Amino acid sequence: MRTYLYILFIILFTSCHDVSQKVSWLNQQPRLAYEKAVFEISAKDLSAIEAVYIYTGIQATELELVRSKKSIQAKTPKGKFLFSGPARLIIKDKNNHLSIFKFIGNQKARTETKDFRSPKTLITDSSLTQQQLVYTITEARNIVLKNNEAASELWKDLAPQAKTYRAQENKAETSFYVEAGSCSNIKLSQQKQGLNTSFFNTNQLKDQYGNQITEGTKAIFYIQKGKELTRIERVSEDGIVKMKLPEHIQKPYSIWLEIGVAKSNKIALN
Amino acid sequence: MSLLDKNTLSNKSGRLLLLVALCLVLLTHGIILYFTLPKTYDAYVHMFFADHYSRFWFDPNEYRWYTGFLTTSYPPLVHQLIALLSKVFPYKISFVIYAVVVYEALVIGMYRFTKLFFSKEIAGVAAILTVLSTALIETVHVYGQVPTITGMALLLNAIPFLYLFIIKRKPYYLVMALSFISVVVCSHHVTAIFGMVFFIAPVIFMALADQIETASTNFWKFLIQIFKKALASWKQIVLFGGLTIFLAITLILPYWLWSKNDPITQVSIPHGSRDNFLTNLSSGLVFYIIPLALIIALILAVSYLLTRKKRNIGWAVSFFLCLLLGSGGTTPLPKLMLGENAFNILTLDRFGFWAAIIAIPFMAKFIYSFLNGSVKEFWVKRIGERYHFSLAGISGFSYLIFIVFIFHLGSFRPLQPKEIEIQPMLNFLNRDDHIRWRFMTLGFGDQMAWLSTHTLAASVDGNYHSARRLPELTSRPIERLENAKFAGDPGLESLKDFLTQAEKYNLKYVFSNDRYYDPLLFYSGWNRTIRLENGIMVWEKGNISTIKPIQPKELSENLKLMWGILPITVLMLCFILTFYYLKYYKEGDYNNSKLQDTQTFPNYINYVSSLLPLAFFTIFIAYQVVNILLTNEQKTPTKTVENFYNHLDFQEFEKAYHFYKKDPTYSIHQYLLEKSVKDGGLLPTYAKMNTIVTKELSQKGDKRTVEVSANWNTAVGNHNTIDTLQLVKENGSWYIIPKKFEAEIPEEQMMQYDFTLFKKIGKRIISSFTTEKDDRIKKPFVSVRSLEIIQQDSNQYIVGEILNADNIPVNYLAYANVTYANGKTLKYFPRMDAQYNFSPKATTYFKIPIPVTDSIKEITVAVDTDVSEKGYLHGCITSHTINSNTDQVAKLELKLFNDLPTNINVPGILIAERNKNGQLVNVKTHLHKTAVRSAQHLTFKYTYKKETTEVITQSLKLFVNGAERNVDNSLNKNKSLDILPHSFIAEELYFH
Repeated sequence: MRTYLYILFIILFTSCHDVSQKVSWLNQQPRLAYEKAVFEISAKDLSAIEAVYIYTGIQATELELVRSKKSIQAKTPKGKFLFSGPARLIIKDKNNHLSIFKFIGNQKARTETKDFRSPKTLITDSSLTQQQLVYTITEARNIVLKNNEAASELWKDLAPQAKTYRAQENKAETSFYVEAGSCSNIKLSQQKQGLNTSFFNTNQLKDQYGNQITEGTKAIFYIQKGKELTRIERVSEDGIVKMKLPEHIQKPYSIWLEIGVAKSNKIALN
Repeated sequence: MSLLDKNTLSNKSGRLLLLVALCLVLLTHGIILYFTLPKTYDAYVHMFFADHYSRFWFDPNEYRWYTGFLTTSYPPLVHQLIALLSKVFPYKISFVIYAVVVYEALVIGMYRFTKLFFSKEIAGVAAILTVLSTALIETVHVYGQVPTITGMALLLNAIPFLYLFIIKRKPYYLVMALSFISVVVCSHHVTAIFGMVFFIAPVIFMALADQIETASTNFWKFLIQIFKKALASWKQIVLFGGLTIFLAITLILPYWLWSKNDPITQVSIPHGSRDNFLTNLSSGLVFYIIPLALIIALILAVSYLLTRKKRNIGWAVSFFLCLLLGSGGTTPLPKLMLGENAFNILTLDRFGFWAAIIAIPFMAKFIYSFLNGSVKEFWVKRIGERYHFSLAGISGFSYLIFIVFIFHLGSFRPLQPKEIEIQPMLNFLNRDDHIRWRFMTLGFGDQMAWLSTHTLAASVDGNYHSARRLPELTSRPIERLENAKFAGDPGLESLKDFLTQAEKYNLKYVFSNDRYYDPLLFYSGWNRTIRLENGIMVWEKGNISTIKPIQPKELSENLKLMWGILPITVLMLCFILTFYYLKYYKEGDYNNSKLQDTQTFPNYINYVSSLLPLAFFTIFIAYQVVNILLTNEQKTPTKTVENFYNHLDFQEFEKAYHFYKKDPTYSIHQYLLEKSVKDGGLLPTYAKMNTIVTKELSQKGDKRTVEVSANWNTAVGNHNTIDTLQLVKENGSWYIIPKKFEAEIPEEQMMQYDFTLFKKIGKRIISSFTTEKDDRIKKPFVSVRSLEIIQQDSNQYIVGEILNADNIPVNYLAYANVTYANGKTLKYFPRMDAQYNFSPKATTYFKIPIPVTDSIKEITVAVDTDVSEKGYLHGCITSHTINSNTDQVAKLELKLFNDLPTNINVPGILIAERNKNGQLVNVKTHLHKTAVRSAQHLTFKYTYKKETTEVITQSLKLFVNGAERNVDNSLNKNKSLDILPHSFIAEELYFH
């Protein structure tokens, strides 16, 4: 029994051995430019090396390998942009062993100007002042300093015209919006249909700058009939609020409309 | 046949029977368990723990439940083994494999345990009885408690070694006993703490008794002999006891440290095993009758065998004590014996389980005797072999039917909701960073643990009650949030705390499988987002921040290593030692001279114990059949009404219809049609009946008038109803005369309603980065128009009026930061007296309760807003007349007209009250109990009780989205009562 245990122990022990090999980066540098970089790698068994990667903070990129007898040359694929900053060169072999080397890389690329506005939505009840931040980034999203500044800041006063604007003409994501504020003048009127059906509607509701109020603005009709007060909620459509009076509400009553802080005229029907 | 030949035959038969038992385990439990485990109480919890070890073997911090708890609160071995199996098999299969293996170990353990008392043949019968024991079937297939089975399996295997150690004093017996006990300790804490006492003490007693050459007939002298033998064996006993205690402490030291540093201090959770089984028959059935059915039937024979020999005294004491303790609150004795604390923490069914285990050898002896011994001879002499065979067959068959009944317990009273497909929920949690918030489930039963097993998302709830420390859970007698309705008012209050204080625990999502909770979710500020492919509705609360990093509980590295390494090591050691022992040290049988094989029974036991099982099981099954199939539910007027309401409560409308008087003008179609038109609402749809009281008001020949008073539990409060029904007797049964139904006929044939849908586009730039700056939508602006601190009786509140000054619907969260004189600052949120979503330019109100636990230094009110896409339609056209308005009450007449194209399921109003100075003094939600259908009216009277309110002059700071603001002028100062619609609409209007 003991003999069998010893044999089992030896088998387990010897089966746990490391088959990794030493891999070296021949032209290792602490800093390099990705456009020109060629990573020269050597190892005892070059055929065991399966892949070479560059890991930056946000991406993993597999390099193209050119094999020779003495070494392997790894290059970044054409057209591929790499994030500047601390990175790792990772060499993987057939047994999934990894050899890791640290360096700092950078890459020149096309730049893009960003114009960011805040807040993106303003209503005409507010001050209509907006912050503008302009900055430049590379395709790899690195900020490029201009005049030693990362970004420039301006405060803009916007026109009170309700519409959608763009900070940058060809970019839909840079849209910002001026929207109508509270309506200022509500005129309520009645239309009759048939003997008993009454419709009530407002004028074209606008804010103080003449912008039509936003679609879906809540309006509350109040109907006072003696001691009974009825509340009917509706929303605006194309700047107008309409309501068909329910059949069970019969004269006499008085009716008015409230939207936020604004009130309409009162109509008394006998 | 010579004695030697008899022994050899007995040994062979015993081993064969053991083999049969082991095969039976595979063929029965091995196959059935896969199908019963989804319906068990605990199987998923153990799989969740296994998943923890599978992911984080050496880290005991489990953050997915209760904002984090330590897994050192439960001995790890069982979970670690399932975790190891799960590396190869899926969890359910791993669980089944483990459970079957451990059941096999239990069968072997019972075989070896029985050999201490009887021959191998009887031990073989005991092994088969273990497969068929109702206590074990219930533990595995109803409870899913594999650690209990593991602990018992290994303990039974340890006991013969302990016995032999005391008798023969050979060290390898001690080593074997301790190795098995070590595994018990690492598997199940309750078996280690309590169970060992009921098994270890009797076996030591038995071993000492067996060493007495001539036992005294006098009981006290016999005890003195035992004491002397104990003194003679003191070294063995002390060595065993000391080493056991040392191992018990060392092997699961982190568990003891957790118990000491973080003791269980929660309010006792009610459990059926503590009920009085005479008054609560269903608890008695589940926790006493089912597990102990065969023991009760054979109690005379078992008691006789236990008390015949002095060596069995210890076992007799254990057995009867366990029977007594397992009876729960039926007598005051268990509470007196265990103490109030232990009584309220422990679930007492485990004592019945241990009694069942102890009884198995003795039941096996009687059954063997009945089939092949003195009892058989007794019957054959009296009724002949043929009738004895029939008696045996029918008894066995009736027991089998009883076992089948246990397997189908769930179909009579479902113990769990239907199986839920979890993949859609996993997909939901995995996308859009939903995992950054906590979630909760409602109506999932124990399947919530199955969901947790498959995700890294965190829940505020959990399924291991001993480990929870959240005050909202520990301060109330509630098991889980997820089945809060079954815990009555305390359960719902606990749930309300979590739903209203969601921000405190970063709780953002609720998966609801039970519409009972819909009104509570809605009125606590939750919105429906999507219905998943499996039918589960996802509710979401706005303005909840993401989970902050939590400092995990500190545990030394050595303890973590111990916890991860020792249990498995101990198990492997046990295997190796067992192998070694079987190869080199195994001797013959234990102590043949002490076996009770030649035991015969007195006649009364032969009669009673042979016939009682047949009578018991037959009567039991017959009672169930009669109850379910043959009872006349309409025997008396009051019973008719009670059963009618019961069927309605369980939504069994077709059954309820049959309680109506048969009338060709009132078909079932008419009934269902009328029901669909007039029903719906808080009580018909979202309530469970709590109590029902019926009273006969009048009788006239075959006619009766019955008044029925019912109390209904809803998630938003209790409601009472009183109704009067007319009944008539026909053909021996009572029938209800249906009431005439007058439907309101709406003026319109088509309803139309205009409202605007809003949709937040969300991420426009497709990128795995966090949201681009250009995609961030600004927080909508709200204006607070009134803000007061009011005092009502001894309570304080903050009431406010708020206007949506923006052009999009808003979801807001108002809360008060209250700094007390003791320096503590706590956050309080509104409960149901608020509308959380409102339309552009709409106004609403809120009320925040402020507990006055100490004098208040400062109050800051904050309002956070977010875009809302749903929940901003609140209901119908609301008309109110104030018939009288005094300082104490306002009598209101309310008329609601539903102008929406859908039913309003819970019509409600939000009332804002102002005093003579125009100050806001109260905000209150009132809900009506019946629905109002589209194009129909609902009229009701409501007496609004005014609280004695004082407006407290104290400056309040106000912040809106983090910026300090002033309170603007109120828009409704002149309205003494402002009444807004505040209804719950079940049908989703906002489609996305």
